[in-house]
Amino acid sequence: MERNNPPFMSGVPELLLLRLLADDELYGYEIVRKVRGATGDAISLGEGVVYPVLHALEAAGALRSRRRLVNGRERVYYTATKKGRSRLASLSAHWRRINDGIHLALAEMIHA
Amino acid sequence: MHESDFNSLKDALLRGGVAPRHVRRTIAELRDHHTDLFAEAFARGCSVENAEREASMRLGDHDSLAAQILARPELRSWAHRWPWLVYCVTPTVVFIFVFAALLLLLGRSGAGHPDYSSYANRWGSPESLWSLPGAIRLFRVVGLPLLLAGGCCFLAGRRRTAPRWPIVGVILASIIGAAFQFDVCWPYGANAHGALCLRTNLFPPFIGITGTILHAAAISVATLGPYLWWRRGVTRALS
Repeated sequence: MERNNPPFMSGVPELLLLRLLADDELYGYEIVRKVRGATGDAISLGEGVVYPVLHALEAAGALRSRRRLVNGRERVYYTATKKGRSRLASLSAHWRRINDGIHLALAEMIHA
Repeated sequence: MHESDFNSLKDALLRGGVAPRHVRRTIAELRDHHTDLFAEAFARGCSVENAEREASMRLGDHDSLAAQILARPELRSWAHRWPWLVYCVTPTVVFIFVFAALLLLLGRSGAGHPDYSSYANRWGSPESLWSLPGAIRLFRVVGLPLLLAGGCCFLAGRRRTAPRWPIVGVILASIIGAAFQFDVCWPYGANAHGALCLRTNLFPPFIGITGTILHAAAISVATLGPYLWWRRGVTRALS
């Protein structure tokens, strides 16, 4: 399986999880599948890595969880809180700025 | 990942200071995720061995999972951040409060009142173990120090804390528990009043210090012995 560059990925899992959970209530396995689907397999998180991120976001008040019994199995479902949505907005703005900066830099290097 | 891998990961996380509630939940979620990955691979036509291998690979190996979780300081327990507070300050504060509560209870029951016989009729003869003062004395001498020292060991075992902290906590709890005492001094003669006598032999002239040391040693051995034995068993099972 292809591995991503961990230092460059710093902050990306939070952003993706908050984006997914801003309008849906999902459990870990579903989250990883949706991340893959939403990024066209460009970003594949180490699947177990999603849980410490979820727990840290919950501890920060950005997510809330509840247990649900589905097909005889108890699953922990996560969803974004109001605080999580505002964190998503600031993270998104931050990543857009970085993205624009990289685009600009690349364009200048090509024209130079 | 096999069950032994999950157990080993659980132990590594607890030793790393992750709060037990986060550890329990993380392990349960990882186990559940592994089951889903296995089912997905098996449904695609993989053999049991291949499905198991793929599920384990996608979930991540023991070391990388442990490293990712341990890299999150917000998941660390307060006992890991401030062990001196948990194993040294808390038992001392609890001892002071319980000691004061027992003293208050004894005072409120009327111990030390000039009318010894009516007190004995109501609460039992104070010299006997089967009386309110007797039960309080037994709890103060044996129960309270054992509870405090045992509590240190229980917390340390649950959180896989380095043994130096519970050892310090147990010794401290045993010394405090053995060295601070109170008794009822009954009045002698007419119009006299009794008193609740509070004493310690931690300071000069150290009267009865040998008994206190033996008492503290007995409490320490009674709690640290089973804890260290259990800890050795856990370490052996995982190695």
